[in-house]
Amino acid sequence: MIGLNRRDLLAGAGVLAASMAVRPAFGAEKFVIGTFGGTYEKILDASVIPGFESANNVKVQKELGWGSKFIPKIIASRKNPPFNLVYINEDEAIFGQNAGLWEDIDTSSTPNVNDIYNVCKPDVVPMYTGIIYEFTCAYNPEKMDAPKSWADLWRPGLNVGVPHISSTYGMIFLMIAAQLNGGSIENLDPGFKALKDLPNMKIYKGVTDGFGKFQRGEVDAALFYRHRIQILKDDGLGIDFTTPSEGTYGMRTGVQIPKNAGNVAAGLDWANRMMGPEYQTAFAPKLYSPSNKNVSLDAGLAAKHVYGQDKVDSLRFADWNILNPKKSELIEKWNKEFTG
Amino acid sequence: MTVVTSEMNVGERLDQIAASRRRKLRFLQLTPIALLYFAGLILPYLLLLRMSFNKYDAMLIFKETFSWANYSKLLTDEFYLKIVAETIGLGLAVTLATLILGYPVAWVIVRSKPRTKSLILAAVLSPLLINLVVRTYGWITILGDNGLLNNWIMAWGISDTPLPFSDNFWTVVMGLAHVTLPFMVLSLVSVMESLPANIIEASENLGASTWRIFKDIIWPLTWPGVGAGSILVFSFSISAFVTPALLGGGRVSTISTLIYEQFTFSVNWPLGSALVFLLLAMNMVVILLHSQLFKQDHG
Repeated sequence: MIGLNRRDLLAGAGVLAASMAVRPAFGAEKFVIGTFGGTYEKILDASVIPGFESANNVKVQKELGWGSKFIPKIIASRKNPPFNLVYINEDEAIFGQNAGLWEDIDTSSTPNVNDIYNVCKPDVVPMYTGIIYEFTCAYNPEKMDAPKSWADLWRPGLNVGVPHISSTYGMIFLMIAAQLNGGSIENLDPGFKALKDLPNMKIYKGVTDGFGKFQRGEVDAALFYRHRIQILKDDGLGIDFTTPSEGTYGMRTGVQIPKNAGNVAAGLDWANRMMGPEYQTAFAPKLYSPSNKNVSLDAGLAAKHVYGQDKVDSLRFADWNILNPKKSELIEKWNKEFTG
Repeated sequence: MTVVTSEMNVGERLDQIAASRRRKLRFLQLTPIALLYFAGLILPYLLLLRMSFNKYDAMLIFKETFSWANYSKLLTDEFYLKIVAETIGLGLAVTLATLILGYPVAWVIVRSKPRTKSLILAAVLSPLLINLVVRTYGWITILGDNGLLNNWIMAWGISDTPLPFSDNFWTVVMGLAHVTLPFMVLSLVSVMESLPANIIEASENLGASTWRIFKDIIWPLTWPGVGAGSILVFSFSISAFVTPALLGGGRVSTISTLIYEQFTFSVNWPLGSALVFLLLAMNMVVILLHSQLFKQDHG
């Protein structure tokens, strides 16, 4: 027999009320986002999600991963996609657009779109863009002088990191290799031949793998995310980066709302926040470069970023309408050339 | 007489009722797992089977059709046949490695005192207690160009340049052997435990050499354990994804890594689905061969 007196009941009710008080979104609608983990997730938790949840009366649920993991799930469940919003890269945005995966872009509900660089606007790349990345030419100054051309990576004796083709930048490096050797975005065969000619090719699969290979000193030079190299440089690792004469490629990253996702209004609010200065300023210390022209960074931090109209204008961007349809055949060719 | 017959009838009927109850109970006991298998395994496989006959389309992802093209591609393209051979080779290499490493360990475990036995068993099981990705990166730290092993080798002047321990087939074999060793050892231990010690004593008394005892007595009697361990290790290895993807350094492809690439990066689901059935068929063939090879004589 359990004895319950009035005091116990009151105490229980108090605990229940307190637990409800610390959960303001109790009973709120679920809002699922597919987003990146690690530092990115931490900043979302600290600076973005609380304000978004209370403004939209939703409870945010995160699924961590990246675009190529989210997109198959959306395709598999087009009528009832498992996300209200996903973070994707530019190639995935274009792929999804062509495959009819996204809601139509609605700039009337996202006024911050007016303040982002032109190359980031949805009529150029079909998504709401929040970050600009640069794929820089990273090198170890103890092993070589700063490469003047991407072709300098083919010098004998170097260990060159080559991004696996299953990443956006893997495709870009293959394209650069093709362009250096008489090929083009339409004709990537010379790129495959050039990669085979690299004296010591170290394939890296994904950012973590590449980051590790630099940290362990296994590669002397490679195309890599500029902000990641900056982090290693700031940590005191003997590493630097440069812009070769042919220039560097950029990549835009942002969000899209899957068709039939539901609660589009909240999705648009998220997209608008992500394109705004407040959101992007929260991410700036961790070197995610802003797409919004009005984000103001002090000189020291700005120097570490893809920052300002001139810098953004200097970046080249790949034409994914041409590259995307080739992905299946390219990965097959890649596996035939470099694995097994 | 009639009474006896009717008694028999009653007995038979009772037996029948009991049997039917048992069947019903068994059916009820199996229903949850059967439903789970149907919804979580059979149904997705059927959907994938249908997908494998579709045609890839760069814009639409796939076009509904019924064509054997994906299968004929997999079975005629030299590259895919090579990957099948390599995947099988990987499975066999890992199985052999775990058998060679695991057999003596299992023997020592069975012969040890309880406390030592638990200690060795815990050590053998330890790879399963570490997160897969952490364990894999541990190997990279040891085997990389600037890893522990290469640093020692260069410090001792054995070689001036790092030796290629990482990013190859054998690195993957080692990584997989590390994680599958417990399956092999446990399978062997369970069989060795039931090995009657007096048989060995008897053969020793009759003057058999150690090799003869092993070849003619211990090995045949532990054969079922070898079989059980091998199938676990082999199936696990040919279907493994994370270890080949990370330890292969982009240089090792198996059917599993190809499946992943087709479903995510290429978004060529029809070919990816056909690869799923190629892997399934390989597993089936192995299980069939295994059941023949390790047939138990119940006679």
